[in-house]
Amino acid sequence: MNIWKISIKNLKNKAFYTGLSIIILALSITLLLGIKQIQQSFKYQTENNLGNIDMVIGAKGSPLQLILASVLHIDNPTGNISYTEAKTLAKNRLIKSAIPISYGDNYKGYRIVGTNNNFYTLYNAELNNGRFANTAMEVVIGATIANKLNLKLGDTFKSAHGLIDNTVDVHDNELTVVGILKPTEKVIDRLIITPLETIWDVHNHNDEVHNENDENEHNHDEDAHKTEEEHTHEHTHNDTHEHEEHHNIEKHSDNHEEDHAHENKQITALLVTFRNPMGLLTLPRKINDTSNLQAALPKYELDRLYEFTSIGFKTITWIAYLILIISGITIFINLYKMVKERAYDLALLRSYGASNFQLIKMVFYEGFIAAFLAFILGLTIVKIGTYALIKFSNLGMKAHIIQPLNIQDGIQIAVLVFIMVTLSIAFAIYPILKMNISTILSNEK
Amino acid sequence: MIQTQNLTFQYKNSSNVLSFPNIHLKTNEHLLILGKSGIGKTTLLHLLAGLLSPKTGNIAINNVNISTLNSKKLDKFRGSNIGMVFQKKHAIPSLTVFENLKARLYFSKKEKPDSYLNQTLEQLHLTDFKNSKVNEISEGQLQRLGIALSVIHNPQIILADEPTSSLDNENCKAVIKLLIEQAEKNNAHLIVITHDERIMPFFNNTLTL
Repeated sequence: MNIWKISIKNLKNKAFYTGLSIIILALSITLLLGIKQIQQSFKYQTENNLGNIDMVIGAKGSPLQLILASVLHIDNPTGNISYTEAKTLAKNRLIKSAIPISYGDNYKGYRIVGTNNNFYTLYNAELNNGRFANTAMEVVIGATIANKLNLKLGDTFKSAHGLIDNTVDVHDNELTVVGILKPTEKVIDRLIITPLETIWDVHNHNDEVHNENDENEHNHDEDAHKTEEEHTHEHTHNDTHEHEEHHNIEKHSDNHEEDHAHENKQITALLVTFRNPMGLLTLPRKINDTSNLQAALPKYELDRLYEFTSIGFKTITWIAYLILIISGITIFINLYKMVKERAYDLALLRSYGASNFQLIKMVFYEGFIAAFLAFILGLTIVKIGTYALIKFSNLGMKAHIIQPLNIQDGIQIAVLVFIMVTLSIAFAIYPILKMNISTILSNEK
Repeated sequence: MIQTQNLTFQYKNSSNVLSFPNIHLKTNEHLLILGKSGIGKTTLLHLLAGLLSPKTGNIAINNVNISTLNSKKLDKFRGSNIGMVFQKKHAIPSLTVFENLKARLYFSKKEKPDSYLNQTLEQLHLTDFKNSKVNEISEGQLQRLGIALSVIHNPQIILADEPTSSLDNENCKAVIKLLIEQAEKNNAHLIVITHDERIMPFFNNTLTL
């Protein structure tokens, strides 16, 4: 028998109140840990996936959507832009590097990104085995894809149109895996990288097939034009922006002969790194004011997104702190009540030879056992919640957004709970310090 | 040996100073202290147990002047050398009968084998209830547990506060016999305070306050 055992027995003896205290405290810990985890996931996304991208140039539309789609790969693109125009912009002396990307296809839900080999440097990605893709229809896959889809070097697959896995709109061309990347813990782990030509060739081929059919079935009347519109729609991968579609239709019609010329190809976005801060100050405004393109700043847009979401975070955080204080008060009330109600027990223990310090230790142990159990319960709920979120919410390739809880954050909340519980106990032990053993044992109080 | 000299006590917020006659008990001697309610019997008992500090005077138990011990030493001394039986029958409710005895030994800082505890429980007819919680046993069993708790650590003095006040004649006799038996078995002094004159025949030494 020792003080620990007596404390545990005491807690068991009033299981209902102990359970209630633990649940309330666990709830606030869950909220605090959960919020920390979500905030951390956002922060991680911002810091880890931006790489060296200072600016993204894409089609007009929502700048945030452009960033989410082209940098974090979790949204649909705003539309396509002319590769020629993009290349002209890239020659600006304020731009250090400009990496074109084009996407709109997937394989089993994983995005296929057409780009050049500079794309890997954004994420410091290295090959695990194989080589980088040099020609059309060759692909390099991220570590997660290799693992999840069990793809190996030399394996071939056919991509599907759109960004969601489907078996209906599958392209005819087979893509061959020539390289597998090492894990980076970045978005590139979940991307299929291929030269830009792959995207263009796959869609040109589809366009040609469609065009042949059009010629057979339609004249160049209104109906035929409508069909072309649909083709262009596919070609640009723009499912949402009618304006952009219209722009593309006109372009497609006007430059029909040059349709397959490299210069008139389209890309989804250009990932830009500035040479110096002057670029940041002048280029975005210049592009947005004087061209049909849109320049968006990832850091600014994600900070803006974070600002929006942080209102919610802050509210929930304050609610969690409030619950933490309430649970602290609950612990205090329970312990205080215990000390008062069990005054005779405590006095009896003093008559057994127990010191005041031993009685205080007993109360501390009871408080800390409850707090420890609450922390473990809170942590378990957060872990199970995160697992359930990833497992059952069909996040798919977005699941990497959820980051494991940072140990430092866990410790920070544990310290906070420790301080709160210590304060609750410190107030609760006051009656012990003021206890008159003789009066209590005389049954006078 | 127990010896008190010129013992007085004054409660806070009270102008009344309680004075107690000197006590001198030789080895294995027992004492019955009689007195009306409010005369200070329990106060004297708590002074002897070191639960209260005297205003003046000394209390020597086996040549240790407990009036001069600091709080820590007094706790230790009380835990090792004194056993108390209270008027209110009570034990720690979250523990079983057996665990109560273990807890008593823990705070007394005395080691006893489980067989010794079982033997004590058997003597007090509590063996069948050793794993019962305190609230699962009868008043009589709880009183016997109180006696077991007062002797399990082999104290030098057993102090009993009105142990028979609520008992019928038969039980009164049984309880006082049990206390004397346990005191003699442990070579301890037994000091009983009571206003119950039924137990007078069991004591050679009597002090009336």
